[in-house]
Amino acid sequence: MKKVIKLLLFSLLSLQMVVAQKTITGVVSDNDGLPLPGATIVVDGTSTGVTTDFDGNFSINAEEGDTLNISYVGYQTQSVVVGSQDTINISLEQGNELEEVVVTSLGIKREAKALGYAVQSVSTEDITNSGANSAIDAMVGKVAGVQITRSSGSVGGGSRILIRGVTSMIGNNQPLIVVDGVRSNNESLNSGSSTAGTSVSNRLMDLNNEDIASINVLKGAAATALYGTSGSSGVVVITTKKGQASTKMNVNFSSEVSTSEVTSIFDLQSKYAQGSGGKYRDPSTGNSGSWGPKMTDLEYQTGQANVPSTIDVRSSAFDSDGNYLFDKNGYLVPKGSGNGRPAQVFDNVSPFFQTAMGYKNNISIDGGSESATYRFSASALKAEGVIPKEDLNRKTFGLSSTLKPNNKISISTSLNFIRSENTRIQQGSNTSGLLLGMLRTPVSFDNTNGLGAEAAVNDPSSYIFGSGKQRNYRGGGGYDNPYWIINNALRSETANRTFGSFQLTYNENQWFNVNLNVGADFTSDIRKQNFEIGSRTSSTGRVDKDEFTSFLTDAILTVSGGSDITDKLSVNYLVGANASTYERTYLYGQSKNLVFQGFLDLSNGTTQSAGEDFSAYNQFGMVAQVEASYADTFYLTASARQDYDSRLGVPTKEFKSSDYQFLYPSISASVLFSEFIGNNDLLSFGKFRASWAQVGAPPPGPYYTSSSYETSSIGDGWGDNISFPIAGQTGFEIDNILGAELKPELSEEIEFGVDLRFLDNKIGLDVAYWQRKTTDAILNASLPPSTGYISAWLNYGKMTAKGIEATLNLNLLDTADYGWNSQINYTTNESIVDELAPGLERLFLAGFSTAGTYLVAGNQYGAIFGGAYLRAGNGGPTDDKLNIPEGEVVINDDPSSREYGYQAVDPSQRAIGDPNPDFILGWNNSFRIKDVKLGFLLDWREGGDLWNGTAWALSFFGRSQLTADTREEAPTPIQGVLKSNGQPNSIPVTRDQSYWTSSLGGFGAVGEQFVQDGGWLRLREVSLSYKLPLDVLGINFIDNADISLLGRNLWFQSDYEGIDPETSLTGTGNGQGFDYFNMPSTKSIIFKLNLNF
Amino acid sequence: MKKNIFIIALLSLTISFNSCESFLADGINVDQNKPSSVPVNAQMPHIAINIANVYGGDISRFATMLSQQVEGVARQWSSFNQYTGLSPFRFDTAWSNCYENILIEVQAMTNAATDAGYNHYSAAGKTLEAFTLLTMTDLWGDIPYSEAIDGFENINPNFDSRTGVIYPKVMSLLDEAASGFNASSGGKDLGGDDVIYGGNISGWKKAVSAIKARAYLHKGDYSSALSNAKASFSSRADNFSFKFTNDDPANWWNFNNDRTGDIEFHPTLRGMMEGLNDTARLAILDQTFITSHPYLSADYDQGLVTYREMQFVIAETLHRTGGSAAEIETAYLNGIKASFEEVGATTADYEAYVAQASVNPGAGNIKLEEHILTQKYIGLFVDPEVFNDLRRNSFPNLSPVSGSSLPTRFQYSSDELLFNSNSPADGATTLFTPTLSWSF
Repeated sequence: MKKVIKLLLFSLLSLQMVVAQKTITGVVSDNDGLPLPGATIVVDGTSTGVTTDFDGNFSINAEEGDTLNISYVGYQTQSVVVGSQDTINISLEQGNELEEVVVTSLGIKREAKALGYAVQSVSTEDITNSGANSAIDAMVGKVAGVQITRSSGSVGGGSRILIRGVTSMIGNNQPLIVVDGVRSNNESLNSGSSTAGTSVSNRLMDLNNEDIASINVLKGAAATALYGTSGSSGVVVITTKKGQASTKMNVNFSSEVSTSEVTSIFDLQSKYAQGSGGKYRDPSTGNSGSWGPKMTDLEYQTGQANVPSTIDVRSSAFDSDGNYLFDKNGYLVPKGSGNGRPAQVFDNVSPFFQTAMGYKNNISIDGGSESATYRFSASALKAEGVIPKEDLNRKTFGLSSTLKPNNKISISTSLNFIRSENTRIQQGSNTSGLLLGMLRTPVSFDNTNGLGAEAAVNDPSSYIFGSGKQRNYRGGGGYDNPYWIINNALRSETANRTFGSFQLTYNENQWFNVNLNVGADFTSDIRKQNFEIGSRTSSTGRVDKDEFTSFLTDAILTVSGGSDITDKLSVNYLVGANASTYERTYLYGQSKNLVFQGFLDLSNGTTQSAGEDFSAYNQFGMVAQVEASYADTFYLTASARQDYDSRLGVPTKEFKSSDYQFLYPSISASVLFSEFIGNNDLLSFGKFRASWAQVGAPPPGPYYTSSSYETSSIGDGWGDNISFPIAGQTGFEIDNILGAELKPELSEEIEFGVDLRFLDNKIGLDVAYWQRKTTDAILNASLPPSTGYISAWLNYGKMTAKGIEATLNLNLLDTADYGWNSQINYTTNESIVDELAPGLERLFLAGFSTAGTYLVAGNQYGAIFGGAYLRAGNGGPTDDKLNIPEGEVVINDDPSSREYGYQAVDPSQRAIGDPNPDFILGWNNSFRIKDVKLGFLLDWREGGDLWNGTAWALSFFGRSQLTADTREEAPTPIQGVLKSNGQPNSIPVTRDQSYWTSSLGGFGAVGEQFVQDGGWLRLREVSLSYKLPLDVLGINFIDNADISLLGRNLWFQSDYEGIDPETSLTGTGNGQGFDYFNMPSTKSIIFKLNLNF
Repeated sequence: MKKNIFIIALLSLTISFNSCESFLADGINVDQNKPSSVPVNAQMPHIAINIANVYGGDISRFATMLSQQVEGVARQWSSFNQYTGLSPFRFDTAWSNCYENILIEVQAMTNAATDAGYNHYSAAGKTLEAFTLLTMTDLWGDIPYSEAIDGFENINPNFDSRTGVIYPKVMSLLDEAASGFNASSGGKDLGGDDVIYGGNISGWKKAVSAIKARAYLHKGDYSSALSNAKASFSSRADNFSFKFTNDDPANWWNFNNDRTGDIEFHPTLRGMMEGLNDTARLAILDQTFITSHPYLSADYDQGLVTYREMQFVIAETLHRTGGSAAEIETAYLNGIKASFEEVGATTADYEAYVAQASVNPGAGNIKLEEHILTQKYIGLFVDPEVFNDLRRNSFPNLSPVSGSSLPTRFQYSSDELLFNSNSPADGATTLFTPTLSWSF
């Protein structure tokens, strides 16, 4: 068809030579063949000009002999004289590096130098060489202003990402994720409590890293204002790889093999046996602690008849033949009263964890012609967990295509399918939590029952008796045996996800371009949690099945254009509309009281219940933006977005669109002051930028504007709740949270920045300072319970935040054979809670009663609040009832008290820790020596407290090394002053069982003593890659071959006295800073082969 | 083509604007899974079961631990046992359950029932509210009531006097309840949703008298207590109680399941029972608190006010008012017998027990403390009422677990202290002071 047209055209031209005007078509691309959308083609000396479409196509009328000037920001302008040809393909040379183009709000490409706000990108290579399976984890340390915390070492565990700290008090603080122009689902849905259950994934992990072309981070309010509400916490713009026009089909294949291990485990004592008060207690007694005698003072004995009268070994510890059940060696008795075989010290922890293998294969095929391209990719990831039986299997399929039916229209589509299967183990504060039972197990007890860790995983005799009763160190009570958990309390999650987008671009001329982008994202996440009969969480057995179905749609329509008005002044504009919808359906079924073991299925329970939960909201926004530049030196951009959000609707009120609407303005400016200085050897580029914007956030979820009845469970937190129907009746109650009419919370942000490049761009420094004031923050304000409600939704909170981000780029060595690139990203910010609701001093986010994270007026966001030692004197500038007052610790000197000589407890809880880091610094390096590339990334997080709940609990049980040391100390007075007279303390005490089981120890009222610095210095990434010399090897069917060895998280240094402090019990939620029997993090080594055909 | 696209663009914008209302409103912000109103019979089970759960939950554990029936021995509970760990926030759950899950619900139900003329529902609501208020005020003293349960309308409710406002309110609610039960049902009968009496109105009438008897006893009005106790339950079958089920276990069972080893039987009670050769009941009660504890079972029948308590009230008030010795003995023995039946001990065990002179010295020789109050203390195992008796009578004569004084009250919830500007000043109330009055 095309040929026919061309032929026709040609004949017409030959017939009418007088009409010299002809249509010239072509593609403008860069050196690598990537099309350049928006490039300008002007006929020299005329006003005729066009711009290229999304795929670099243009079509222009010109005469033979005319000169076409082709220009594109960031590239050197080229001139071509029109000859007899009808097609002119132009490849533009990249210009000055400074003139890079970045993707900004709503996919608008702009010159970096024009921007009045900070934007930073991460390249493909930085993502694929990170060794991380998730794009979020791959970004750690690579963007200033971004904090990423992985919550757990469980495979597939989620990561929390914050851009410029927190914006909202209790709402979502994680950025909007945009993939190919439309919003993407990055939810972390929790099926259980935030402090128990399995670690929760975030859905961005579904995206295959190998499909990502680039990641752009829009940090501030001015950068994200066009996204309105959804962008209030920053935006991560991900662009996926597209097919390249090529004469042949390009095939890329990569394969990875990885091994992972646990980075660190808790420091446990191995000296003292199970028991209390120095006396050994047999597992059959149910005793929980390790306050028994030294292991060296014990030996074995066998036979029920031989049990000495001084030792309490219950009859339940023996089978009918009098054989001891808990240990094949026999039961333990004091040295001298047994068979002489010394007690064996068992390590129940390190051998439990395995070296986990991971495999990942990826293939992509792309190609196409000038008018149509395609790319297909498929990947399979199979990763074992360091915890036996944990695994992640992910398969991804992606198909994208572009079509250019003519020179003005371009259509691109993408469709992705992901299936992700994840098996995970319980953690945290629950009796089926893996490390809870494992770390508490005394060294005198062998969880493997003599089998050794590897065999115990699949041999039920380690964790179950012939009677079907569970074998654990507390005689069947207490906590699940770890081997029971990995076999009988598994959670499986299967997510099936489909997302895709359709983009239509129409370019009439430089003043009128239309872009329509429509996307949808559907996720079905089906989960099953098993508790076999005999599990500590549910002794009669339980099966929970949950299904979350999320569906997002997003549609954006923009009309834009712009050009030079005079030779110095140029303007462009954009108007558009954006509609998006969200809905989530949650269905659950539960089956309790299972009939028989070995069949974990809903049908096996005699008590079944089901429930549902649906939530939905819609958003609509209209945007406008105008941009002007003068002499390529002064840039000014102003934008506004009017948003409407259904979550603001009050069901009982009559509809008025103004109740749903709110306006977000922004203005930004930049000045290239280096233009005034002129050519300068030292300073090659200098820009000053400033911006102001106001964005808002809606209520954190739908249905906050009204109150209703609900059916809820009954309990008081010390045991499982019971849920309706109860005794054959349903029951409804008034929602404990009072709904109210709400307006969006507002954040006003200003930002100043400089971008300096020195020595011909060898050194670049970008520094930004920003501050933000959040007002009308929506919060769940606590009410006195006597009002009949726990809390009410209110627009009341005030918060101020400020921060500095700096990026230093060093590109000091760059020759054909050698190169060194280095980038340092520095981030510091603080968010201070100025005010909560009237009379409200603190607001609970997450955690425990002894130590929880709260919003505390006057403190950093999410301060750890909990029990403290009493201090002498009430004065001191920090004593505002919230912080720990100054003065010496007060010592209890009431001789009748069991805590005589110990620290007295402050009756008020205090702010005892701040989980926010002082600063974060990432130093990324890459070296090139001929065909070898070497890189490393150092990740330094200074400060940021964690409440070490593991240490707190283990002190009670006498399992931590600390308790082994302190119980042996000679009695010494604890530093402090006496309560009765303020004199220095002289009461000698030993911090023994009595101390660690009092208010000052585990499960006591004081949390202060276990708040620890969670900062670190970490070798986050190391990479070594080598490009195989194919020509030397005589291989010609492969275009390119790289082999790489990658290391992730190989080394870290921290003052934290527990596992790796990169951990968060509460996952990706707002309340951070807890370690309570969390899954330890992992380190990995990855071997990777990458081939291009 | 260009025109087409332009038209499409315009069209989509227009559609967006026109359908604004249906896109943003039209019930999108209404939770489909939560009704905006429910009938009274859908509220009733929640209220009654919550009362049983709260009364047999934190309140039972704290009150009977402070009364030395049970002992906190591990984790948090060992510090509670020492009194040091019992800071205000430990009382948050009990306090807020009373307001957020009981009083607001019961008032909503009573109001709806009164509006509709459902006399029995409104009477049942008043009975349950009176029981809750009586329980609360005896543990906490002055509590917000007249200005409470008003949401945003009053976020700082005043604390009402226990003797001046709450007790009179309890009495008037019970009077109204009594007349409500005497009236017709008004078209809606209590049915299976009445998880306490299954719609049996005579049971409710007896319960009204029983709660009154308890309240009069606490005030020191012994003759009114006596007459009401006599008008109340005639057997254990009449108990004002809720029986949990194996599928939805009672609070103590759930506690023992999750917090095995935290609480055990108290040596003080053990000593007292051993002194009276109470071997049968000790064999049942003095066991490790685990899920297989024979008394604290999953399907525990959680008593709120019981027949055995009423029999001991009759014995005590007769004794105090100089009543018939034979009647005292009958009520006293009825109380002990019902206690044996309650824990599942046999009649033979009971007969052997009361055959001892130390337990039953015979009519005319039964002493208030040594016999009646002692047997009530033993017989109301894990019933919070023992904490009221302890403070009312200063009996049994307990030694403080630590320090030099016995706790005399619950601490106010830290949430209330923190968020209600009309609550007592910091430190104005403790576990020990101010003490409550038991004669007014």
